Amino acid sequence: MPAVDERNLVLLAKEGDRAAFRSLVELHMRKAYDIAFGVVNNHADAEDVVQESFVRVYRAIGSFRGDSQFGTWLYRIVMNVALNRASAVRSRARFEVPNVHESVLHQTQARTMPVEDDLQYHIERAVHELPTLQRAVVILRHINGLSTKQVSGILKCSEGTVKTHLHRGLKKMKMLLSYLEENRS
Amino acid sequence: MMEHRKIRLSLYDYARGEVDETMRGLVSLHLAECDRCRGELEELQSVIAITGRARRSPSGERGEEFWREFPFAIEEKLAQPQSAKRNLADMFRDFMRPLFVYRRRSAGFLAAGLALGVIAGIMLTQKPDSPPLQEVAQNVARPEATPASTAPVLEVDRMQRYFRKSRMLLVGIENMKTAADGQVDFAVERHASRELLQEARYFKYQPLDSRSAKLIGDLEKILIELATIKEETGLPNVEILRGGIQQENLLFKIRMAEAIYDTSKFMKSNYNY
Repeated sequence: MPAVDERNLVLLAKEGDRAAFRSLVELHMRKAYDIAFGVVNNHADAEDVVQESFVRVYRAIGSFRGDSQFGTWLYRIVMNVALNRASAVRSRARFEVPNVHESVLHQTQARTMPVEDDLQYHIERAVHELPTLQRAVVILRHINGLSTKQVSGILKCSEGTVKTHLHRGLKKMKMLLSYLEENRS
Repeated sequence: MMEHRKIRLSLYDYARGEVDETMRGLVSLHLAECDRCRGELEELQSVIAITGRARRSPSGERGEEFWREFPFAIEEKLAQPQSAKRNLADMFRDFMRPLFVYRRRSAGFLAAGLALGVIAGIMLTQKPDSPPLQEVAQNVARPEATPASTAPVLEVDRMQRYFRKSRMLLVGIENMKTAADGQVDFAVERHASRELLQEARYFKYQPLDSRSAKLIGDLEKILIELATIKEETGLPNVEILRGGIQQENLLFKIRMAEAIYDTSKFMKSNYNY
């Protein structure tokens, strides 16, 4: 969709046009979902995160000045909500006793996983081992294919910072993947 | 150097074919002469290949039905009264994230600035206290007990520690065994030599006798070589270091210096008694 049309939709949504807002949702929901999934790593949480983000966007759209693109603003909110969700899950997990039956089940499943899924699992694990900013940059730029400029707008940092963290993040991932690969073999 | 850094950061775009013609030419030229960047490009290409092989679209895993219903699910949520207020902790995190997660360096500078401001404020508001009467009386009774008279004792201790650590480091290098592939891990030695270099720089500005000053200077040359050596290096580099240590007879000189400082400390302590 051309940028002008999107701008019109934003203007209409600001005036309370639900249909225009729905069009904006339809336009961005899949990309937002992919970004959220990159951070929370499961479908149920990704769905919640995207829904909550759109609700926040709807309620705050009156204050959107249009300095950046709508997508940039939306993805920033998605990223924030997803990071909050991930940190909440992590802190919950710290206090929970792992269910023995469940872990045994996971191990059995892991053994029977096809190689492709195994690799996918390793990649997701490697991404989640990265520090927050590197993880955010790798998810947005490398996994979701957003441009450096868009990523710098979403994370409110310079393009140089994005490039630096992408470089460091991918190098670290390479190291982690090699380690996991060695352990597997 | 600047060019190298700029090109290094463009390697990802280059690997994905997302650079313009001019940049492509610049990167190719640089790659022809820079081994390090070539190595990094290979690393990046392998990560891109691995992650590309297993790439999936999570949104694609949800059926079309899910996506048809999705906007309506949001509308349902919007129709609900705004009872579920946002968690305060989440709001705080959202507010602070750009500063403390995405811009840690700026946050560091800000925190350092605030700390300095607080310290300066405390120092400015504090009035100089008059010394307690007892202290004044002691100073009058023992005029020789000034801080200047205790300083050399402290220097000797520090110097002894410096020589002892240096000796241990050099002995370690002398006795170092090389691995089967001829590689030696220098990570610990590098770290230790950097710490010792800082000490050496401190001693340069202290009133030292000519022999100690010369020894510290000779030792510094070896420490600089050690501090800048690769973490994993081959046998030839170790031999060069050993040659330097033996040529200057550094271990013997350090032992002599240690003995002299031990004696001077002993004499001083006896004198003080």
